[in-house]
Amino acid sequence: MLANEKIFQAVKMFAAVLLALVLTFIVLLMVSDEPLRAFSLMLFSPLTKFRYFGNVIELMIPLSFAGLATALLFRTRLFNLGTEGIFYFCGIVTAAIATQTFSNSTLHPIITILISGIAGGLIALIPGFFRAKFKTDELVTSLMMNSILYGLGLYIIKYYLQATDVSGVASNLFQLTAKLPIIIPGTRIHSGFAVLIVCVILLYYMLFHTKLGYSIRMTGLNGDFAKYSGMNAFWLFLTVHFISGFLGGIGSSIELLGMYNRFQWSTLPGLGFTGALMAMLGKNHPVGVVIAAFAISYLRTGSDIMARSTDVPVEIVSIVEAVIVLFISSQYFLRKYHERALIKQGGSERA
Amino acid sequence: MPDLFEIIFKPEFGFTVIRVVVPILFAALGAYIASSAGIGNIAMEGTMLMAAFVGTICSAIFQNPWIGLMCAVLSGVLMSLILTYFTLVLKTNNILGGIALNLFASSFTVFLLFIVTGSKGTSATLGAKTLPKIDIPILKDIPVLGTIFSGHNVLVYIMFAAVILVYFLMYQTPLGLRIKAVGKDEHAAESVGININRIKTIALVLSGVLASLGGVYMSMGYLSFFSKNMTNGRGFIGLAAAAMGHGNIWMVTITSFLFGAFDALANALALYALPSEIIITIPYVAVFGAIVIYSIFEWRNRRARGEE
Repeated sequence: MLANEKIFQAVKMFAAVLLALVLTFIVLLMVSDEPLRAFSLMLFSPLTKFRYFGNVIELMIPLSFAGLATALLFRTRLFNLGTEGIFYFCGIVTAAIATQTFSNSTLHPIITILISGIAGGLIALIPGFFRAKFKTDELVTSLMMNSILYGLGLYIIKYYLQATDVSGVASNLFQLTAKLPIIIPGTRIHSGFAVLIVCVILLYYMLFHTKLGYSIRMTGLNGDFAKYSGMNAFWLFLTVHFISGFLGGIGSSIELLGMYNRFQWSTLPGLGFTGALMAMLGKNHPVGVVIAAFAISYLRTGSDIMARSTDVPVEIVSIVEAVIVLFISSQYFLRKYHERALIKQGGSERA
Repeated sequence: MPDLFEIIFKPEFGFTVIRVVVPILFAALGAYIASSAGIGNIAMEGTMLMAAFVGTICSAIFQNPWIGLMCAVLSGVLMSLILTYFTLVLKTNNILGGIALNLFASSFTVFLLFIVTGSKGTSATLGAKTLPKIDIPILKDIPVLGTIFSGHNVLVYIMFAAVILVYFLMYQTPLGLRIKAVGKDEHAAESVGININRIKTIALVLSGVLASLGGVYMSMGYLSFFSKNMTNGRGFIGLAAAAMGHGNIWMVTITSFLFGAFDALANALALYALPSEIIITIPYVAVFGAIVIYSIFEWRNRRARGEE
C-alpha cells in the first residue's frame, strides 16, 4: 500500500501532523494547568460555532495570498521572502486610495486592489531585477527590503496619512465605498474569498497549461534549465517576481478592505513570512497552498480561541507549524518504509 | 543637518561601532564556517534569537550570568543539531529548513516569554543578570584608543578572540582544511576518506555556537533583557557579510565592521531631528547597496572569464 506514491504522501502528511500534535500536547502538559481542555479547545473549537468557522476562512484568505506569492517564487527556486514588506507597503498604498472619496462602490475596491497589486509587483521587481541580471542573493536583498519598506511605510503613514481622529500609527477610516462586501451572512467572510478562488484557478492554469508555467516548473527542478533551453532567464525571473509581488499586493489590499476599517499595522504583520510556511506545506502547488492555508488558519483560530479562555498563549501554534513544515519538506522522512514497500511489490510482481 | 564628520571622527563613534558590530560579526563568522562547508545556515537569525532568550532567562533563574551564557550556547548547539538532522539526515532543503526554524524561533520565544513572565513584550521585569564590562588596564588610559577599545562587554573581547580562533581553525588546522574541502567539492573530499556528514555537522554546530554568542550579547550586553524579535535581522546582515567576504575571513570581518559602522551611524543620527523612521533603515539600505555592488563585480568577473 505504501508503494503508491500518493498514498505514501498522505501517510507522511498524517504522520507529521500526528507527531506535531503529540509534541504540542507534551508541551501543554508542561506549561498548562488544564492541558486536556486547552488541547481540545485548540483542536475542535473552530467547529463549535458557525462564526468560529467563519474566522478560519477569514484568516485563510491573506495566508493563501501570501502563500501563493511565495510559492511561485520558491517553485522557480527563488528564495525571496519579500512578501512581508510588500504586504506592509501595499497596505499603505491601499490606505492612500481607500481613504479618498469615490462615488462608485463597485469600482473603488477594484481600483484600490489593482493599484496595490501593481505597486507590489513593481516593488518585487527590484530584488527580481538584481537577481535576474547580476545573480544578487535575493534572500538577503528581499529581507533587507522588508526592513526598508517598513521604515518607509511608517514614515509615509506618520507624515502623510496619519489619522486625524486617533493617535498612534493609523490612517483615517476607509471610505465605506472601498470596503469589500460580506458574502456569507453570520460571518465576516468577504468577497476577497471569491477573488482568491479565481487567483488559484488562474495560477493553476498558468503553471500547468502555459509555456511560462512550464519554464517555471523546469527551472524549479533544475536551475540551469532556463540557460540551456535558450529561454530567457532574465525575463522569466522578472515575470515571476512581478506576478508574486502582484499577488502579495492584492492580498494585502483585500485583507485590509475586507477585515479592517483603517490601516493600523504598527509593526510588520507577519503575514508575508507565514506565506513561506504555506508554500512549503502546500509543496508550492496553488491548490496545496490553499489547503495548507486552511489547515494553518484552522489551527491558529483554534489556538486563538483556546488562548482567550486558558493560561496558554496563542504562540503555541508555532510548535505545530514548525514541526509539520520541517517533516513535510524533508524528502527522507519515512522514506525507507516507502522503499521497502516498493521492493516488496517489485518482488511479488516478478514472481 | 548635523555635520557627519563631527559624528564619525569622534572616539565615541568607534566605541559605538564595536558595540553594535558584535552580533553581526558573530553571525558572520558562523555563517562563514557553515558556508565554507557548503551549507548556508539561514537559521542564524533564529538561533541568535533563541540564545538571546535562553541566556537572559537562565541568568535570571540561576542568578548567574555565566550559567546563562552556557545555556545560551547549548541552545545554539541544539538549534544547529535540529537543522543538521533535517538537512543532512532527512534531506530537507537547507534554506527551507532554516526559514522554518527562524519562524519557529520568533514565535516560540514569545510563547516561552509569556509562560515565564506573563508578558509578550520584554523580560525586563525578571531582574536578569548581564555579562560584565571590562576595563583593560594600561589601554584604558591611552586617550583615543582607550575610549574606543576599553570598557566594553566581555563578549566584545570574546568576539575579537573568536576572529583569531576561527582564522586558526580554518587556515591552520586539518579540520579547517577538511571543512573547506567538503565545501569545495564533497565528492572529491569523500574520495579521500573524509566523512562529509561529520564535517558538515561540526561546521553547523560551530556556526550555531557563534550565532548564540551573538544572540546572547543582545540580551545580556547590548540590552539587559529580552524583547520580542530583538535580533531584528542582524543574523541576516551577518549572512550578507559572510557572502560578501567570499570565503576570506578578513574580508568577512571588514564587511561586518562596515555594516556595524552604518548601524552606529543610524544610532548617532537618531539623536538629531531627522525622521527616525527613515534613519532606522540606514543599515539595511547599506547592506542592500553593498550586496548589489558586490554581485555586479562578481558578474563582471564572470563575464570577463567568458562564463556569461
